[in-house]
Amino acid sequence: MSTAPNVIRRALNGAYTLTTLTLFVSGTAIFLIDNVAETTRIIGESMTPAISPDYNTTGASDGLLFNKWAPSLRNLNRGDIVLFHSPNDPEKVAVKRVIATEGDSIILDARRRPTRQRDGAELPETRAWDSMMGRVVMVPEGHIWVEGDNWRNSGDSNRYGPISKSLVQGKAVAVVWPPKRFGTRPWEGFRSRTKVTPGEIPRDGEGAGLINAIRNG
Amino acid sequence: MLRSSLTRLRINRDASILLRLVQRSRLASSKTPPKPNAFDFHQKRTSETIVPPASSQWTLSSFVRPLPDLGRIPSNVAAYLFCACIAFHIFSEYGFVLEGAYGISMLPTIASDGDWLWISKYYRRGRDLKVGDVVSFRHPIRPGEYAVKRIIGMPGDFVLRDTPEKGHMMMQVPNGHCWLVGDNLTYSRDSRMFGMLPLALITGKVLGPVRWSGWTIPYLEKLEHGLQPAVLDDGDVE
Repeated sequence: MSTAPNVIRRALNGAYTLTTLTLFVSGTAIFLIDNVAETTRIIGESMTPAISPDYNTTGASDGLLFNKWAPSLRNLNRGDIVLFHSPNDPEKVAVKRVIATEGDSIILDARRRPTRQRDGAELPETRAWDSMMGRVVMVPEGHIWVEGDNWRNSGDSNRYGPISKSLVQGKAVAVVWPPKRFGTRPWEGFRSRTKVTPGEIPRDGEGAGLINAIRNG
Repeated sequence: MLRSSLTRLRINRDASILLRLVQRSRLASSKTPPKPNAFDFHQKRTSETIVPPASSQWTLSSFVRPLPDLGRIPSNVAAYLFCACIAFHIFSEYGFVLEGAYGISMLPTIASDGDWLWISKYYRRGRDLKVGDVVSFRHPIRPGEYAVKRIIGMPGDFVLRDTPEKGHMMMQVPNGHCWLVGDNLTYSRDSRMFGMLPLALITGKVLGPVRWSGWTIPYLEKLEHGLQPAVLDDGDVE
């Protein structure tokens, strides 16, 4: 019965179904990408050779799957690859490796002195880094020290200092692109030249007095 | 006139129902085999040849056993509930949200307990924020906690590092950060304690606490900007 009202009714029905289906699918996708897992391409050569090894020759970037489930982001271990909002630009997202967590003491790697990219001139960050070089620096409470694997070209904590753990959005699970490296975790087994002495922020006991005084005002 | 036609309609409807019942019972008790349906293909495949459907048209449903009927109402309710949860999450993540506030650091602007703040998520990560706005942010030192403070400095501004009586060192707010101070200076843990806050940690702007007028009608009390323009006090000097 293809009368005009029926055709219109069927078209409206189809449009309604399509709209609700699109809203439902996109809403669920947004919820999952925000809270459960997300895949993103890693551009830049700061994590070579583990991730995006051919970026500066062919421009090929790896795709990584990140776990964004909040409870599992509470334990970050040294060596994890994390996705975080960049402290210098809130709209940019960066991917680096966790070198030290709160309470650890680190000795900076002399090769990673931050200078201007094109000509090696000194920046304000260079002066801050020089004041930390040679001394033992403790990562403050609630913060982590992140570095890119490629010491030659990486904007990381050597430039902007330890970052707050609240900035971390996700933890890398596995590579998903290119297909021949699907499921691998090529970043494991990296030895960092930044020396880390594990430690903890004292919560109870003798050293806790000052820390608790600061925490509680 | 109308009533008689309605009664005729009802008589017709009842008669058709009765007729259908009679037909069904006749079918059940008849000697001839009933029309083949989907169940029969699975049950009788080994012993009998497959009888094509009466309409002589094979469809996928001819071979597939239909799913058991869960009952329409519960599955609809579950689907609508799921959609409502997704919609609520998207609205509270990207639109507006009501959050309860607790603490004395923003007195007298925000009460120490019981105030519900109407937060706009449009301003997350520092978009369109200005000095004087009250914002909610993820705490930089205690992961998982949120706090509410007022912006005193945006990137490029010079701010006093300590409380005015306690020091006079000033710092310039770098790119991508801001300086937050609570309204109750004495009892507020803010940027004077944890330093510059990355703008990426800001989750939204507090448009105001929801207050009640006359115990029944809620209204949004707009928060004061906090910064007054300088006034030239030109009192007459006698």
